[in-house]
Amino acid sequence: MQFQDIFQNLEFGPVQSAGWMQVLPLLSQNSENGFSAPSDKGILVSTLDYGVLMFENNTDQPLLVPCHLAYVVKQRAQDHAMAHLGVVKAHQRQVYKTAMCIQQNQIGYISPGQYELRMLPLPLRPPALAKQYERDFKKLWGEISSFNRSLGLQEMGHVEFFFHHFRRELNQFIAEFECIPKQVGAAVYIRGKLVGIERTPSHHYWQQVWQAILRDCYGSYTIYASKKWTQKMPNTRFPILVNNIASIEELEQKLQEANQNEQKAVENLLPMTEELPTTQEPTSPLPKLQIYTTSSPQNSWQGQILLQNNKIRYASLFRKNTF
Amino acid sequence: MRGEFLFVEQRFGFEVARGELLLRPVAKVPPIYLQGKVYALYEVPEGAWGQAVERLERGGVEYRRPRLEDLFERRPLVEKFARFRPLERAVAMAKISAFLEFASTFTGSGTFYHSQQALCRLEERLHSFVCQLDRRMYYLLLLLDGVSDRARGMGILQLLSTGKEVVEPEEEKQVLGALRASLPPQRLFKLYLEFIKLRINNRRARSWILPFLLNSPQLELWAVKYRKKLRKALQHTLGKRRASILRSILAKPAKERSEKENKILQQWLGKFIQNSPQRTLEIVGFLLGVENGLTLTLLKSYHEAKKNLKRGQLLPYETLEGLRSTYHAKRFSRQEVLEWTKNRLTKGQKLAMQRTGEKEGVEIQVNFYDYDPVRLYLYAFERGWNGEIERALQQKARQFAAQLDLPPNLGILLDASQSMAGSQQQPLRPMAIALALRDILLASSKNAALITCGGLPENPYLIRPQGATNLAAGFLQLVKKGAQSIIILSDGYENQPAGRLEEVLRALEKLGQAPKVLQLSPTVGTENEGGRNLAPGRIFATSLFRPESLPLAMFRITLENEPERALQWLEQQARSRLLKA
Repeated sequence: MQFQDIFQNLEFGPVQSAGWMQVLPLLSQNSENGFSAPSDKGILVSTLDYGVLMFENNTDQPLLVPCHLAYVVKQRAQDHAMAHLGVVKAHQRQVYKTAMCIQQNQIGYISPGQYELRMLPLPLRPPALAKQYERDFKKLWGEISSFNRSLGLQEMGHVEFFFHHFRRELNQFIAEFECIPKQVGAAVYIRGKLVGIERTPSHHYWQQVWQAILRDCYGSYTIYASKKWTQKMPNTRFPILVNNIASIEELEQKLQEANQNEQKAVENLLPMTEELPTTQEPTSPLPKLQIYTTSSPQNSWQGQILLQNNKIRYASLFRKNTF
Repeated sequence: MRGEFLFVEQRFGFEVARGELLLRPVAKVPPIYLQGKVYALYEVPEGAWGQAVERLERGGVEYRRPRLEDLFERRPLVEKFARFRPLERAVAMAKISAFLEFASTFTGSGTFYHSQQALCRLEERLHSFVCQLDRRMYYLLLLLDGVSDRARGMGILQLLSTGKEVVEPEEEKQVLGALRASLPPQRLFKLYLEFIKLRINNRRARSWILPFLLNSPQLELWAVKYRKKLRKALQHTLGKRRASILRSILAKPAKERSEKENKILQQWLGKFIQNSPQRTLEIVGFLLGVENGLTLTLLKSYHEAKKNLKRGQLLPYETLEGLRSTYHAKRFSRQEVLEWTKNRLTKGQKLAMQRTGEKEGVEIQVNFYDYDPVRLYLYAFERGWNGEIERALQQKARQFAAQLDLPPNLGILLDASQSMAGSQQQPLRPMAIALALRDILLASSKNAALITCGGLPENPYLIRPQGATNLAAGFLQLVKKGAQSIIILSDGYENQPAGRLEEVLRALEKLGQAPKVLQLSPTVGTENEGGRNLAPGRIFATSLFRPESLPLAMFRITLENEPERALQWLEQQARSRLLKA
């Protein structure tokens, strides 16, 4: 599989930039729906045991559970996250025993209901994917603790410590970026480097998950990166050089050039011709559906891809060692 | 025989006349501030008028005879601020500006970034600061159009709880009356409950509540609609013991009351009642819990509706619905109550209950001209557009525009990007505010040019927020069209890319062609506790939740740039408001 396959039948929208983070919208002119999102009416989620997440799909379409979806709930119950993507058939229930606890010192099960969609922060996604087959609800506690420690937070397996501490900054990302018409995904850049590619089956699906993806996954990484590296303007940002402008017409031209340069700079960073080694998962939740996972944990790109009738319907790819 | 009086400009020249004792200063009257100059009052001795005037004219000193309206201008705010040191002045202006922003936008709820408690604490601090800074200016600010009911309520509490600091008792009394008249009843009664919470029950507070309440022609309606709140207010104002005694007296028929009891009624209530004492006493009795021997229609209906709901058909919707759900939940439906009361719904209820009416099969007539433009846009987003809404919106825009004096060649940049859709709690509100402001600005400025960034137009008026925020290109287009002043209606979140507008402004400044820019933000609660500024230092940004607050936003701009002019304007506005009241 090559990277360009991910972008099949997609167009690029105008890049959105704010601070270190840039988002290149992926647009689809004729995106068919085909999958329900976890926040759709008729979808219920609960935990049956520690490390066991259950989805109940009462819709007429299969439910696509995005890779590393997390639930940080207000009730007295242990927060959980998925270790991989999942597909639940229409009008059926599916139990995932490979789910992970992300709230070490909390007891209690999540009662069936609909909860706000969250996503694991980017630095926690590679270890979560590497342990996707392990049935151990504690499997991510060590990584969460290190992640918290690196940000000066209490060293425990509580993702919500991070979400609560940086609530204001994370919410800021949602206000900064916007979902545009026909958008089904995005390529995300931090500090001028491509760090993730997200593609969903439809515009409706993207509308449901984009906030969790940008805020929790990539927004978290921007905060993480800002603690590690000093501020500098990414080389994919092109400000207007004010000094040499002689007229409004020239300013207009410079404005267009700056916007075009920024667009080109981020598009050029997409590794279109690069190979993406993947392995097909042995079991398929539905006929004509195949799930692929990046084949080697050493590969700089990791993630999962869902194919339907040999067409890519969902992809969530992220860089392991970004900087 | 006494001589004549004259206001004389306070500058070097007048010494000429004073030196020869042609003018005797009137020490009791402080100097006044008129058209940017300070005048003091002098008495001209009998027979010296001609000579004094001649001297003044020769010295180029201005003078004027005292007029009634000058008395209003006797306490110059400008003078007070002129005495401040630069830093004190800057702090005072910043606080006044923040106070006004809160007074026009804060609704008492938490926002995206700030908790409700934190915002309420800040609001209290601002009220207290401005009141202590200058009590008179504080209450004059509260009188301005665009100040929210909440801020006025807070102001009343502040003024009544700090009675010892009154400087102008008569004027303050007038202001308190004007503020009370501007509040809707539900806000007023909520305010009474605040009095209880804060334990405010001084003589001023009592004389502010009781005469108004007891002499209101609406008292009977209020008694059935807000019975619990009014009961609490009465009990607090009169005192629990007195309220209990009054209840026992009022439970007796008028003929059976003893002389002593009548004397008590007269002493405790009668002195506040101006008209129809029997009616008022019956209502007070009802409020305190007396339900026997009722003669007034609404009170009787209320009492009888508990047994037979049909008897309560004259009651307001929420009262009757409350009685239905408490006493007749199984026998009568909500639909029946709605059908009986549909013609007596308040304007707000009529609009808000369209969906319920449709669901229950009850047609509720709405007159769109009764509503403010933001509400109409929100209604149109939810229920669809029609010609009547369009005409009502145009009429409202013209009405608001008549109060504004905007420069010609105005550019309007409307941000219709996705983020203007607002939060889940108040969906589409920012967009509705921006659209209402757009209409007003277009109607108020000749040759105004409009550019909309993003959005999905449903028709030329109604635009649904959609897409990313690219304001720089639209801004430059407005400049090319010759706009010398530009108003940006945006939440301040630019992302194609962030900061591009500031870069364009910087470039225009270098070219010497930068227009004056004002950003009106229909959101609040971002980083700087106001609208998020697209280019701090280059653009003046202010939050605006209602078109009525537009003059207030303009006042804040003037306050920042020309404080003296702003304070003069404040005096004028408040005076005209007081005269109207």
